[in-house]
Amino acid sequence: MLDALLLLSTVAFIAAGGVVGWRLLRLAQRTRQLTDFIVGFMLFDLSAVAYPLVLWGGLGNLPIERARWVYIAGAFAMAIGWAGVFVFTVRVFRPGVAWARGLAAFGIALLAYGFVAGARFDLQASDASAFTSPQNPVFWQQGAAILAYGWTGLEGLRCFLQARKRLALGLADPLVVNRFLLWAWSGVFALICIAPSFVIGLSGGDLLRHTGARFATAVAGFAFAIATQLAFLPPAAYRRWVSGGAAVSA
Amino acid sequence: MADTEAFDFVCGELEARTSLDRLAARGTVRIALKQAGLDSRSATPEQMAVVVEKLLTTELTNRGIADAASLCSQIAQKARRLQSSASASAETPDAVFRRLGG
Repeated sequence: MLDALLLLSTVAFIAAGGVVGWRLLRLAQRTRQLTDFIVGFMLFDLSAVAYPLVLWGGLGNLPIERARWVYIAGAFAMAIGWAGVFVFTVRVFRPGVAWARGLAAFGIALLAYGFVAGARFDLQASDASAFTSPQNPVFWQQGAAILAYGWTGLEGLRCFLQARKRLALGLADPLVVNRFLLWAWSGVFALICIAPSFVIGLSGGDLLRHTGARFATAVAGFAFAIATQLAFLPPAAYRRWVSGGAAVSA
Repeated sequence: MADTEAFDFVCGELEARTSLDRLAARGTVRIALKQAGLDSRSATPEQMAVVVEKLLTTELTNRGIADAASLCSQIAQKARRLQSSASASAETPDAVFRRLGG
């Protein structure tokens, strides 16, 4: 039952991130804005490229020589995508702020370390189960991702709280206000997807034995897919509901 | 990033037309902006005008400024005639998230 839920959640995560990311990349092609490209690339890369590659490489169905390169390619795509989360957060929420640049640089350095040290570890692995072992330094990429999603989620929440005040004065679009909140939630859900595996891995445990953690990961994956879809590709009914709700409160 | 022209304009008007000194005028306007979820570095003339009309009046009344409502109405009218400065029209989170919605 839990395996089926995890599978469905994985499919939803890949589909929603891939479709929304592709749509934002098309938008970036029209607007010629680097920020639009970064968010589109990051979503598409993480959902439709990195995650499937890491799953494929780590499943144990491939010969080890091929599996390690698939896994390393996935880890590289993950590092690039999560670096995109840091860059997007600085550019949009904290442009020109020194501490934010420093935090992003630290996060990207951690990603680079996790990838390089992880790739060296993977090249010496004798079977695919080693890729997800707690000894693999690629776990530091997950640590950096937790930082990235936690930070961007908090920034989204801060902007939501400010935009809600502007909405009360008629100075904000209810859909944009709602999009900030969905961004904050998507950061929280992505963090919940990653944190259990990181924490359990660091403590030397095995995620496969933790039913609660796997259930939380599955639910958070679904929730991330829904939040991302509603934020950047909302159905007309949802748009009407958000705009109507704002009109009633006004 | 510097404060916008609209912010500086409103503060200058307050300083010139009330007993508030420069520091008090700017502090009062910043408090009103914070209540509105806005920032002095990105507030547009239209946003400043709304804040002046809807929030600054109360702040000035609390500070003992006489006929605050009429004063704010006049300042808001003038603020609306200003052009948006480059810093106000820069890529704010609002502008990015509006665009990303399609």
